[in-house]
Amino acid sequence: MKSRRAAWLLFTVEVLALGAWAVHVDRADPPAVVSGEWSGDVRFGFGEAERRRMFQELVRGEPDERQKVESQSESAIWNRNRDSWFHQREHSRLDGVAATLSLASWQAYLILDEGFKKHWPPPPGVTVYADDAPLARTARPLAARRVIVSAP
Amino acid sequence: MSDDPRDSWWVRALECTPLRLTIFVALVAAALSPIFAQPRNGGATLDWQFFELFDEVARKTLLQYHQLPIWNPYFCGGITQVGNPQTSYLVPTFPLVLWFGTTFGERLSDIPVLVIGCEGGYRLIRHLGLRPPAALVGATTFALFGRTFAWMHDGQHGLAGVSLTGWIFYGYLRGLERPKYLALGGAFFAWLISYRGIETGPEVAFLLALWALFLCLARLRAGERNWRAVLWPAAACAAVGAFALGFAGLRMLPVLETVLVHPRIIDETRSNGLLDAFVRPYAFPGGYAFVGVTTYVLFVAAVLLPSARKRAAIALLATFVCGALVLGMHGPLSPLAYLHALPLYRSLRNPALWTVVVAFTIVIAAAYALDDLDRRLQSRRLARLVVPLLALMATAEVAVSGYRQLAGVRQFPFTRWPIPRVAGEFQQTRGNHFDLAIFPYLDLGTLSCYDETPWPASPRLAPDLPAEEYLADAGAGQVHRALWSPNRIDLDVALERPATLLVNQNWASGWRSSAGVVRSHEGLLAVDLPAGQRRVTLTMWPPLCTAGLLAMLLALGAAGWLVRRDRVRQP
Repeated sequence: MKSRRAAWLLFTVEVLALGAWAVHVDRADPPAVVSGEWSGDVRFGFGEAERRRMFQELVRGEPDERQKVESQSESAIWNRNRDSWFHQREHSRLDGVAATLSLASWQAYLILDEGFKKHWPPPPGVTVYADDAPLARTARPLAARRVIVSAP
Repeated sequence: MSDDPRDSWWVRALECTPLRLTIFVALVAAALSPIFAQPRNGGATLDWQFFELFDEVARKTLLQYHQLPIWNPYFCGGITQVGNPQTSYLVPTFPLVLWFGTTFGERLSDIPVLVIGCEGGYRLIRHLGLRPPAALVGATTFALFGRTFAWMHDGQHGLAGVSLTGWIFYGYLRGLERPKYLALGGAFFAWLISYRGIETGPEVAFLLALWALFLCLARLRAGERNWRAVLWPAAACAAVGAFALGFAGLRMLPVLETVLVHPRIIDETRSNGLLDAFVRPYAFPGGYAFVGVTTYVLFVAAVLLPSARKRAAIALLATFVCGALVLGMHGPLSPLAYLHALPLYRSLRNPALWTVVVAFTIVIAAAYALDDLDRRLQSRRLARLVVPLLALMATAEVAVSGYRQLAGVRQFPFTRWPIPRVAGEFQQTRGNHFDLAIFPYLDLGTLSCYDETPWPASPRLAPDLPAEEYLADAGAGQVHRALWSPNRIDLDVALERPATLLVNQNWASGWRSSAGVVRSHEGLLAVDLPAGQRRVTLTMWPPLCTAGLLAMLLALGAAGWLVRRDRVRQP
């Protein structure tokens, strides 16, 4: 009976030690919180003019990517339509552009989103399209899509 | 502890539950340690991001909005969260995700699941009448089999829940004698299917039904002529299934609706050749069903040795039947073609998953072989050395190969830096499904998404609206968001004439409004409102959730009744 109690004690100590380690890791590196608020026209330390320029850099490659994915075949499996192929390319490109702009990926998406919502002008020759309906088997032609912004 | 004087000290120690659990915790924590090298980093694979998104949405809904995670507005323009077969939040380990954050908590969850899985395997094998060394093989080699670690690498979070299969079978087999254990088996089955078990649950259910069928036939063969006694294993199997559906009712009824109304998009032509069905998944660490060379040797012994073969007959037959299902679709001659005719089994895409239940039956057969050896050698001193050594070898083999699998990819897949929480007003954005996990942290819904379930989504969803709630006839009045949460949206609406209010999310059947009539407007959530000024409250609660809660209460009541009945009969 005594040895059984000692065994339960050993088990409890082991579980508590694991828990203590997890709490230590959690406290040493807590999930970060960043303010998304605007201070005047400044967000994440960038003024609006700077963010507009970043937005232009972030969407500059879209026409080329849209054109390249036109040759891809579409499939219902994994919802692999042309929007999906486009986003696969966009994902890699955005990582690269964000790195050159010293942005984290999540900041790049927030600046892109701000540009979409405020309809900031893209660079010359660029039209930014919305996706077709989510999970659509095949994507409608771009001409039939919602245009988010188009170069003046 | 074991009181057999010929047992070595460590074999006797295995019989002491807390000592055994201490060993399992140490073993699992050591084998999984490589995935904690960067605990806050996210997985970069599509799957890691996919499942992180669902858990983060559930966490956010509970902690930030104090609501049950019923609706997920952050994915595909809004889909059900409670009825999504891929979610894994209604499980006992979810508090770890709530406490430690999604990326760290998801990985921490695997430790208790695997430890409890090991314990279930041990109890099952002991219940089958095998001795502790064989039970150790049954405990560890299935819970720590190759796919457990490969799933962690790929990002198939939740599938490690299949290690709870031992408990399901323990509850079922023990429940044949004492029915209260059927509720225990059902509870663990509920855990398995709620922990993304929609992938592995049907295979385990099939194996359980097959086992029940073999038990019924064995009773007939033994000369039993009382039909109630003959059919009792089948009835008990159905009871485990009913308890599972009941305990997981809140989630399972909406999930069943999803699976039946929107069956997964699957590749019907998928098939495996003989090598892919019978060799490759088992041969290498990381393969679908690698359970270790020692265990394979013992399995072959179970096939070759008549006494072991006789005792392991059901496990061996089940190995053969489930193994044939791994072949996949080869026209009308393939067994899987017939199984796919059943409603739920139609949505199973990957026949390789059947190797998971094959691994389970291989382990049971191997345990019988080791036990047979143990009994044959019981009068010899050699047994004290050889049998425990084989059990230890089998255990060490899976743990070490699992550790090496994860340690070999220390950098990958956890290469995505932690995403900070950036609070904002919820809005839809175009998003990108190759960076899925980012968006809920930013209070954005990603319209770019992917899933095997063809969720109905509106072509009118837009990523660039000035406000997410607006009027179809913009001149009819004004709409202001008062409060927003995933399951409830409060809007102040002032209308000069009747108008349709549109919400930039998909319509679904659980949406209700405090005023006007809720409907689908080309797939968008819409409310037809009369003229006037009012607060409109939109709430989401699928009717099947109410039925599911009732099913949970019913299951709890039935379990309580069985426990009480058992106490009366066996004081």
